[in-house]
Amino acid sequence: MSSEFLETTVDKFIFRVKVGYLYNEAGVWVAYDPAHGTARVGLTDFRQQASGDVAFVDLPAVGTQVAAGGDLVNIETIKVDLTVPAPFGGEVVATNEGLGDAPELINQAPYGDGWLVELKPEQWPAEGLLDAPAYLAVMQAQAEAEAAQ
Amino acid sequence: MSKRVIIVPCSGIGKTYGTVTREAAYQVAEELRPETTAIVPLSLLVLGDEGARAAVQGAQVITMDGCSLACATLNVRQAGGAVAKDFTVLDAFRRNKALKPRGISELNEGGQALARVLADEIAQTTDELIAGGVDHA
Repeated sequence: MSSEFLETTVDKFIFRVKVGYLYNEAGVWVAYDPAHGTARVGLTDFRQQASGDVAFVDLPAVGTQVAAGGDLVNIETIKVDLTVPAPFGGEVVATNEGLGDAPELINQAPYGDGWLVELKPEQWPAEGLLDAPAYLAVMQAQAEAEAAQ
Repeated sequence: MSKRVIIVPCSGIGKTYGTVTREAAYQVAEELRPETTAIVPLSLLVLGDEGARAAVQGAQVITMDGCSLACATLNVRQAGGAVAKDFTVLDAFRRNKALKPRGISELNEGGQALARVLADEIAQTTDELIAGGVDHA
């Protein structure tokens, strides 16, 4: 296992959690850039695997103001229509335009090229975010619950 | 080429996209190109069935995958077959956003229409293969 990721196996699936990122329980990761005061946001490996292959992504416009927990990105997969909640309140300052032609990046590189948006938070640190070990425990419980269904 | 083009659809039972591939395969083999195509079930390839393996080894093969695992394409190649063209339901859906498939044992209207889109594309590819106009993927 790479030290870059924490990893767990549930049933036949392997899920990775990137060390150094922050997370919410909905499976959204946050990578804060203190130099610019912005945070890149994406879907976790568990959430993308559980949601299935991505068909379409509807990104917000740059400049959109979002509230914590509000609708941020809509994703349509082969299994579900998923609304990604904003992990904190703030302004959308950039979006991953590459997803328009290649939405599969969310599945292929959830912590990298498959990022969704960049937000300028209303305040930092944001409340309620988990570090990687804490999210790993939450995610494992969620994955086991889904596997038991 | 006198041999039939072999179609191998996804075997994802209980999966909507797998159902779309099988419905498209039936439409091609039973309705659109019954004289020039035949279906080989992916499950037989996975089980190592000699007849299925022989069928894909000696023919031009069109695969249809229901998800990114691409089991149909992977198993045809593992069986020694050459995939002439691989179709995926996801690509077809991205080109036809209005045709959203739902349902498993019985597809909704969008799923049936999407299967028809795939079937028409496969029928055309079959014609091109028979005429020798498609390079193997």
